[in-house]
Amino acid sequence: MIDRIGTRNLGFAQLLLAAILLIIGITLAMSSWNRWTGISDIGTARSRLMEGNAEAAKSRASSAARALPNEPAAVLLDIDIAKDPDYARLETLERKTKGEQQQLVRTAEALSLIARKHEGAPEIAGADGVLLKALTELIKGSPPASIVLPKDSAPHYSVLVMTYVAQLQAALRVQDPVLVREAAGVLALLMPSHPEGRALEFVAGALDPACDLPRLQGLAQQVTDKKKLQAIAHSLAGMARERAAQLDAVVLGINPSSSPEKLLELQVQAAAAQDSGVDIAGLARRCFDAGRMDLAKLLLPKMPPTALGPMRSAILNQEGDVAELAKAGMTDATLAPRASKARCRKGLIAFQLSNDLGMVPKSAIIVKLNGVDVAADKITRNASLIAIDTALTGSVSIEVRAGNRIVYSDALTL
Amino acid sequence: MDLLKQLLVYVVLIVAIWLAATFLLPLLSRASMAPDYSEIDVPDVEHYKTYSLEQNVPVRQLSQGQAVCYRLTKGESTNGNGFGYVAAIPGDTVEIVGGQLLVNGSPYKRSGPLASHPDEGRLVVPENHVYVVTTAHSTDSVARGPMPAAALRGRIAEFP
Repeated sequence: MIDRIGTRNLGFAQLLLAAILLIIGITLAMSSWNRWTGISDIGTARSRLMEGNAEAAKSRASSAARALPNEPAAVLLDIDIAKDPDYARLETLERKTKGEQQQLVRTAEALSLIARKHEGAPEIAGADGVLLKALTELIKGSPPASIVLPKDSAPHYSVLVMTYVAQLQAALRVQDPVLVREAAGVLALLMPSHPEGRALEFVAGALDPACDLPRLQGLAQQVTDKKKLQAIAHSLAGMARERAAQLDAVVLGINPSSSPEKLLELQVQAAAAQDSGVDIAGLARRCFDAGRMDLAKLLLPKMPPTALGPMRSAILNQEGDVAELAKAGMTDATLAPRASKARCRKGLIAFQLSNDLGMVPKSAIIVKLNGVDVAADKITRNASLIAIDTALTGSVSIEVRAGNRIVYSDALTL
Repeated sequence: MDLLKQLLVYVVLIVAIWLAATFLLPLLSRASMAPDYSEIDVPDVEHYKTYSLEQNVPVRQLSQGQAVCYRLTKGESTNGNGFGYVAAIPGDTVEIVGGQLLVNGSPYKRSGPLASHPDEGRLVVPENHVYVVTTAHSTDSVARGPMPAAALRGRIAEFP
């Protein structure tokens, strides 16, 4: 009886153990398969990233992170540091890692907090710490300062990219040529194959006094998006005043070694002909300096609306043409053309036409006597003096227009 | 007694499997990341020459001047391999000054000329990346930036 019970118990025990072994075996097999696919997905995700296929990389990284939720190599690939739920995943991961890997996760946590503009980022040592502090200040809107990394400490790639992108944006905002050149130079070395890589090299070259003209032209040719190139040259013009003309010429595809007069002409013609990103107001100022009002006038249709009124006024003032000023709707009393009372004698009417500043209309004026236009050959002008030959006698009405505006009307007796 | 013996054998077996699963497998998986060797054909001046490729070399074991093989897409190279020299390792500074590549302030002789480049840098080579250069600069770090460890196939022994 005891033997029978003993043998039966042994059978039960064997069955139980076999079941346990089977479960352990299946668990081990599944775990191994999971780990193998996870590691394979990490490799594939990295390969897709290097190929620039972000969508496929993200899909593989998610799969790797699901398979290996405690593996920083998998989870960090899948994390979007700008998202709150992903920060919770980082916190969980930090608790499950040790040593260097934990340090890496802490850096990612700090980066996530800073990117989401949250306070309380953990203190990070070394180059990452310096960069993260700089990034924090830049995101707060503080003015940029030169970044000096400690020796023998390597930062992480993402921290380096995020900080220098923020540094470049801030330096462009405050128009600091040294910092713009420094940040653009670092980013150009860090990601030369990025779509903006060539543009970064152009920025570094444009602000480098040692970068000669042929090299700058070569760098400009590498930037395929010409509108972007023009916008860059526009934003750099204020920081590289001494080569602003060269920058405009390079961007417009003009030979920058032409004579300054010829260069200005070509630049104005090119800027007027195309929808370029050239600093039109700056170009117009250069026309003023060169005394070329004719060129400045060509730029008026391309002038930004805010600058159009003052620029037109400035051009017309320089030209001293009160008629054109009147046409432009100038309301300034000192600019408005005024006529003196006409003096008459048989066959002749004369009056002065100018404004308070002594400017006279250079463009044609229209004179009507008794409502009929006077032929141009009957009007004689001598500076501000206008003389009209007429055969009319007796009572005559006169109307004088300059710039489509009536500047004088009266009833005269000849 | 037999019953106890059999039970003991099963318990020992279960514990052994558990120990193996807990400690041995991770050890083995780490061991699989240790360097191993294969052969690789590198284009020479006139023909391909076979070299020994040491795979799975951690970035921290690489040093300046060592030859490495890195991954390329099929469109960039017939066999998907690129070859170059490690110019800088994590923590080193890299810059281009006067058309020359400077590593930690000194010119790196193995780099080809960079005459078309403006002065750029200083870049501190990031963690787990190396700056690899070739003479033509068509697929190296000058063209693509510092290479992550995942882009490296391995270190080439006795490369000239």
